[in-house]
Amino acid sequence: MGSSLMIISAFVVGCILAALDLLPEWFYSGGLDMWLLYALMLQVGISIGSDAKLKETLSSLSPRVLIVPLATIVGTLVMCFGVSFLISRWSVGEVMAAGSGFGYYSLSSILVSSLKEASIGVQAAAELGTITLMANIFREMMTLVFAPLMVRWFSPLAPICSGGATTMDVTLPVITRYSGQKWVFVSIVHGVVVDFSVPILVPLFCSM
Amino acid sequence: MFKILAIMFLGVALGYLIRRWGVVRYIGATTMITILLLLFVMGSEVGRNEHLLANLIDLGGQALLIAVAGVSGSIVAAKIVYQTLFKGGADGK
Repeated sequence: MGSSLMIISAFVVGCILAALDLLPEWFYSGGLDMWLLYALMLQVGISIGSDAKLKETLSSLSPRVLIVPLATIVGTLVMCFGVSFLISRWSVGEVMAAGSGFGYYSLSSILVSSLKEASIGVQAAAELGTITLMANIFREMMTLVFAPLMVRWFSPLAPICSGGATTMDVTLPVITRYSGQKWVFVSIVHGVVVDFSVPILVPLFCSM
Repeated sequence: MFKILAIMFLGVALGYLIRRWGVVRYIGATTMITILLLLFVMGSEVGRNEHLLANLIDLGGQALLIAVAGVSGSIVAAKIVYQTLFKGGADGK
């Protein structure tokens, strides 16, 4: 929770400084965001690759465990498909691209805003990117806040599926607490699988 | 887009190679710093865009709708999977 607040604060501070015109021109022109994205992806990869327990975790994988991230992905995409008809501003593919962040707001939003630029223009792409950012922040927050209710009404798997790509770090503590210790393994595997699906599905839907 | 996946896999390979080095301890912290910087930059891109700022509430509403859609689809799917695959076996079928 604390780190999420820090991250959102960073966003707000950046927003305020820019709105007050306090940032130098060079700040915007160097493609800084793409470089930071590459740095992020590299580090995410490193943290997965250097994980001492990874091999052990992966070798004890069963097909049943992999159905959980599949459920998350399918459930999310089906509902996003449906809700896209309520949002006339964006196409079905665009809404599904936003939904394919599965809570991974930093990566999904920047993918959307850079990939859609060519087809719908800078302004619209920035809008969709901002929507993607907010939608995925909301998703993470909803999981953190409603986890106990989700467990009660929708089973211990619910906060895991709701948490999407965040279930191996940010939402893991709350999942451990309300779903139970026995779901930690499922949660971590789920997080890794959904995490990998984001840079595949978001660009895919952006191109539709 | 493949560039991004390729960089991630490069990271995985790199991470595996350096897994016994002391530096890996810091990857969590450096990742967090990168995310903070990235969100700061993204915030600045929103802040300098008057049109976005003016429409933030409206955009937020759409974002909420998408978030609720994703979450509700996920928790329903979770319940279905739980009932069919994970619930105790002694159901007398």
